Amino acid sequence: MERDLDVLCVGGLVCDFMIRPVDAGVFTREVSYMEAAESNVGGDAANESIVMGKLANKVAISAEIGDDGTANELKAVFAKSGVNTDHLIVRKNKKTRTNIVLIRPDGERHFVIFPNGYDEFCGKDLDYEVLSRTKVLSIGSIHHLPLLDPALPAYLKAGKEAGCITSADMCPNLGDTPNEIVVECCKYLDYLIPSEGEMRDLFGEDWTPQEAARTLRNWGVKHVVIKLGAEGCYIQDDVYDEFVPSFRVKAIDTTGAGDSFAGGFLTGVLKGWDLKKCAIFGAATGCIAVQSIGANTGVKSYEQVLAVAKTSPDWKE
Amino acid sequence: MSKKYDILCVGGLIQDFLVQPIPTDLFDKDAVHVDSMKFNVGGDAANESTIMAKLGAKVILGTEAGDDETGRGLIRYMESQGVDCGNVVYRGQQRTNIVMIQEDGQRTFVVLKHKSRGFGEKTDFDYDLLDNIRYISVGSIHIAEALDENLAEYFKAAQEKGVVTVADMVSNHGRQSLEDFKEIMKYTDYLIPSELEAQELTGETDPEKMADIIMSWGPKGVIIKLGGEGSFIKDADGGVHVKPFPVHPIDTTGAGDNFAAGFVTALSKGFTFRQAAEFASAVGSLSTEKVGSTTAVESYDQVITFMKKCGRDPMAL
Repeated sequence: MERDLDVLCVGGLVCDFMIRPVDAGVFTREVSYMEAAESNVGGDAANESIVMGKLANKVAISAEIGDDGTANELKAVFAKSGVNTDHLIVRKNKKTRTNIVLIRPDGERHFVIFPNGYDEFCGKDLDYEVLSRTKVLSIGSIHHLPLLDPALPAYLKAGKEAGCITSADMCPNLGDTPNEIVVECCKYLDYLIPSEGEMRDLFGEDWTPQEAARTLRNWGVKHVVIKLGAEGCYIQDDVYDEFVPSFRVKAIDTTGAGDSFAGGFLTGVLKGWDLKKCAIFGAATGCIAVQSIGANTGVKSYEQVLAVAKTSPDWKE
Repeated sequence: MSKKYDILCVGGLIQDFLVQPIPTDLFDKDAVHVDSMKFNVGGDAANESTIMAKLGAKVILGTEAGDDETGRGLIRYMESQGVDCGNVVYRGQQRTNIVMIQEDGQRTFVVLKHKSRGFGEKTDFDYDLLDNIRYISVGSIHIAEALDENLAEYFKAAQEKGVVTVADMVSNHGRQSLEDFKEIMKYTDYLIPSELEAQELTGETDPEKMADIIMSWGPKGVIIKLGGEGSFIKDADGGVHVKPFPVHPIDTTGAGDNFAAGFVTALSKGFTFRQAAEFASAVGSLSTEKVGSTTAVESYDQVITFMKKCGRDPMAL
């Protein structure tokens, strides 16, 4: 189908202001000196869209941003990765949501997270007009933006009606969204890509991947991928019901690994690959991501990920 | 003769992130949520020029901003506060401080080690601008290496054009020789040291003796700030103690910058030295009534009304 965009990524965007080196010694002094301070972009939709941009997809991001110097810095980062920023929701006179990341001399990080002036992304911010112009509608994470959750079922439904392929990741339900909303979203989802934590929350400690996936498919999801961290993932649809192993590597920084997996996975979906091939490519993307410091810095190109994917014994051309 | 600007204000521009409350066991956790994070524009010249604009002066700012989006964003903000940024130089990374405020109110500063010498390289000083200003206010001698080296020459040229030269300062910490400091003093009309700085410079403990020695180096007037005790001022007409104004101080950050801004603005409005020192004292005292360096003082009329209420109309002096 001829559409402007391959994918619209909807969700979170945050600036991670990283300072180093810092450690508990700061509390013993009035003034301490940091060698470096830099802004990086983070957030599920930001990470996913940057990875997809690097993988040569035509991607746009829909997320809240302020209208300050930080916003301009982050837009430049998106531009460098080929991500369209026309659909950003600019909050006038507000500062871009920023976390401070304190990096210790040994590389460990501590996040200082705080409320900002916005973080109100809700139903009325959603762009319905763009749906007929994108092949894939990807929700960064059900539950990441509590005010947005109630509007997701209608948005996903509109996506289906506009002929989109719909996908959603998930994250912990810290905003206490009722499960009914998740069930309602499932009716309109082609792909759902949760992690084990969300499955435990929905189905209890005794959950199993097979049963969880079956329930999600009964609720309407066509293809389920449950991410299992370093263990790989479990996939289920009409054709597949199996575990896909991860590519074993030493992880340096797992920040953003799930978003990278999703970005690689959807790249496969756009190429018309089947569930298993998409999952292998997603795993290869995640594998590259965790070998780099930063949420979206490891992945450089489609060829780079393909080279890793091809090392899987199950890879079929 | 009407000049384009009343005051050229020269010195530092810093971005402050104030975060609170920070728990002291921060480094034992992956992430902490805090209640507030504020971005402030700070730095002596940024504070001084903002207050000067509020008090009705036509002010132009001479400072070094980061050659990045953050720096440009801060300059746009300064312009929105009524400060002309025609003498801004963009260089290096924007200076940034993180101020972590603990639960008990204690502040810990993490400061970016600045790689630059600050505003004050020979080429930063605008000699043509001297035809268009009546006063120069230097935020602090002894902060920027470049300024310390080149200020004497600029002040000399300024005085030759009839521009009144005023300087605030911080402690030397052994960086600049007394000879080099005295070279600046040759061309300084007014110096505004704190009691401690004046003691370090002169070796005296009596404010009048401190003032006499400093005046012998060049200045025609000296104001020695005595913190909560007010100030001691001296010029050719003699020395007098100026009482502080009665206020309920909440935050003394930036009080010195407010004092200096009040002093120079008053001079520019035709106040005598004595009147200007009284006005400065009112501005400095008022500034402590709100959190933040530039939040309490709002306008010239506000300050005059306050002074009259305290029975200290400057025009009655």
